[in-house]
Amino acid sequence: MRWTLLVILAVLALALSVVLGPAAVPLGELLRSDIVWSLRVPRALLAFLVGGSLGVAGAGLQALVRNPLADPFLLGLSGGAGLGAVLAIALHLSGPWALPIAAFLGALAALGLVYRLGLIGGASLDPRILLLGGVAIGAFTAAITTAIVSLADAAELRNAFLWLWGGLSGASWDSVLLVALYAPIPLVVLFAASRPLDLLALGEESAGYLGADVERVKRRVYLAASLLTAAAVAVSGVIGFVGLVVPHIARLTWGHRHRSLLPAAFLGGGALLAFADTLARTVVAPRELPVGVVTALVGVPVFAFLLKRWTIA
Amino acid sequence: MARRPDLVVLYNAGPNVTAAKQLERAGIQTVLIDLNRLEDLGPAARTLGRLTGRNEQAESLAMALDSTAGRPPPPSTTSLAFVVWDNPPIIIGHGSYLDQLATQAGARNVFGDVAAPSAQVSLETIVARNPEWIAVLSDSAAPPAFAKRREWRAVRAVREGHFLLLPGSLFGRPGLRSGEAIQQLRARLAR
Repeated sequence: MRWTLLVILAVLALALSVVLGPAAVPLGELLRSDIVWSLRVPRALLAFLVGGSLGVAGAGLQALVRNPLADPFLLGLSGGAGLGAVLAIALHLSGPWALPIAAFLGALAALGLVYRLGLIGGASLDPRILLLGGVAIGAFTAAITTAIVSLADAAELRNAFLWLWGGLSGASWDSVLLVALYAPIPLVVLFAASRPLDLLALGEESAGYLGADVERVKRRVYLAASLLTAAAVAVSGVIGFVGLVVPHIARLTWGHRHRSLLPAAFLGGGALLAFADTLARTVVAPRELPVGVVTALVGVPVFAFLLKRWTIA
Repeated sequence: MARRPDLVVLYNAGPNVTAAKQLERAGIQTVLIDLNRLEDLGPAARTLGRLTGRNEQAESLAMALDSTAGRPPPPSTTSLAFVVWDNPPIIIGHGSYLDQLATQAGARNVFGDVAAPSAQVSLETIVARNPEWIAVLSDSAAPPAFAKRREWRAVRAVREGHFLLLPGSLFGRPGLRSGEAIQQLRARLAR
């Protein structure tokens, strides 16, 4: 029943994204409208894929670092992506994909650095060091980004921040296809790690006794979740709260078993971002709100509610 | 402060107000000037004339600038959207200098109903409002990079290559060459 409800919710969020928009498209013309097929449908699908990816990445990382506050962007990826994007503009790299590719490479560079820091204590990937390394690399890259922006004359560099704040304005069939081809690989890696992630909750030693290859799982989950997040940030900037809040909401309904939790986080994240984007496009039309503002407005009260529950428990 | 200027002229905006106060405290004369719209040009010329002791020349210049600002706009024969950033799309709304330029050049800003100098909008809004021209501040003769993006091809003016590439030095801000900017824009729209 709860799966049926979640699927209905996801389909409803997608349908609303297609039907509603700032431009008036009569219902009878929906199937023939260029606005719908060229802009709304790819945007709705991209929102769903990005939201779902962030939801799964968040659930995986929270299990990996055993910290409920872990967010896909906590591990320095947003800082790396931001630096990549700003460098692309500062170096006048042209081409329609220059910014997303530079952001993706920046996120990958941050991922590599944080990963190296995570191994600083030896061959074992230390989740605590990962978190601290992520925060440090994030702060370091943010400082360099700010320095470049403050030294630059070009208004374009300041506008790079607009891109980084996150949004789905750049959605097209190309970006949908790109994410649809790319995301399944890290998603499958994460789904395949469901059982070991359940065991990891008992502690690394216990997970090892129960048959999990702890080191391999940690590396795979970290790399898969980070690669998923890097792709999300490349096509949509940094959209906060989805990867933080959705896993918690899914856990309330589906419990801590990752076999159910991860698919629920995917559908829930997709539905939340598609719905938030519809609100962002329509509530102040013809103007548009950054979608991150909407996810934060939805996410913060939910998170406050969850914090209250934990405190009472 | 190290250069010891007799007068510091600052654009009247948030951080400059604080800087002006600090300079005044250090004994340096400052003036904050509003320079956002055509009608700001005349008063700015008069203020600078008064401070530099050239009232007569400044008044003559200010009258010419006031005349440009006060000229009744011609009827609009075409429409445009000023795109200042593509992802997310940021457009110029009502009350900005560029909106004034468009009106004075005989074009209707399709986002003239947006009560803000600039605003983020959805791409589908630009498609629905269907401007005949997309105006971009650019010193390059090549179309903007977003012209190649598939989602932007939904905008008719982008598909048809109807771009107005306006050099920032002439069109970017109100100034002595604003009259020339209006004439150039009018000529380009007429092509």
